[in-house]
Amino acid sequence: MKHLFLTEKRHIPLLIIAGVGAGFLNGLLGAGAGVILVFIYAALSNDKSEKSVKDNFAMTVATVIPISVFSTFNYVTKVGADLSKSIVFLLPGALGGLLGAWVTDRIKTSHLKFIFAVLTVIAGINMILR
Amino acid sequence: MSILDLAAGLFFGALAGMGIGGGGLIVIYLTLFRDYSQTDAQCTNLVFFTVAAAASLFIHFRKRKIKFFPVIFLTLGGLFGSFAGAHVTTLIPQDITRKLFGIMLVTTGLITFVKTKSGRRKPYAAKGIKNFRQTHI
Repeated sequence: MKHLFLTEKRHIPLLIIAGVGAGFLNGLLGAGAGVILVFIYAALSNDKSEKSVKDNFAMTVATVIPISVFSTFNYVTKVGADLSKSIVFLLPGALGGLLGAWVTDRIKTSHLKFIFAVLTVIAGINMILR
Repeated sequence: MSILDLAAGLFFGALAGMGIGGGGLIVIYLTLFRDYSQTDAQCTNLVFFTVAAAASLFIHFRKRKIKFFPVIFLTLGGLFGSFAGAHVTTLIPQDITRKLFGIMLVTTGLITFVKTKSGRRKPYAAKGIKNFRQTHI
């Protein structure tokens, strides 16, 4: 952990506060925590190599999974979401995740990211105006 | 469950596995084409991302180094934040939540757009070298 800036016990409150912000987005919107966490992990590390970027992404995913599980629990118990509508997407989602992980080492994803960034902005504008 | 749902699940799961899209794209499909409420769509996105990301993590990131010190405390804070966020969702109308989701998508998209575009900039060409070829992005 020697290349991380924030490794001391006195930084724990900062990490928790940053986590609260990311978790709040996840609880409010069901998404978006990853964007904040990727930024936080990148800021924590002074190593900008591609290997470190992939490590940071792995840590982001590892952090978002338990938060998302807890958010799902809150959505079903507090918010009143219908979980049966979500179950149908479990298997295709898992298979898709495996497929995406397999493909990502074999193709350059930067072009795809660029295209989907543009589509995401368009979709976001559509949701705001709907 | 229709063939379209299966295809959409595979497609958006693959995107999540590749780290594209910020995790919210399936909400657009569910609200536009399947007439899900914003709450049900967001809950589905949470479940969906958990499964897709766990599958991706298992395959792709087994060889990655995860530093548990920041992960533990960020997760701890995240659990508290998640509880608060879910509570706030119950207080505001779904129309407002949809617009906030749209703002989040636009922000995520712009950040990804800027990061991807800046990563594709050509390196500075040294003086006196003709026909400088870009060797990497």
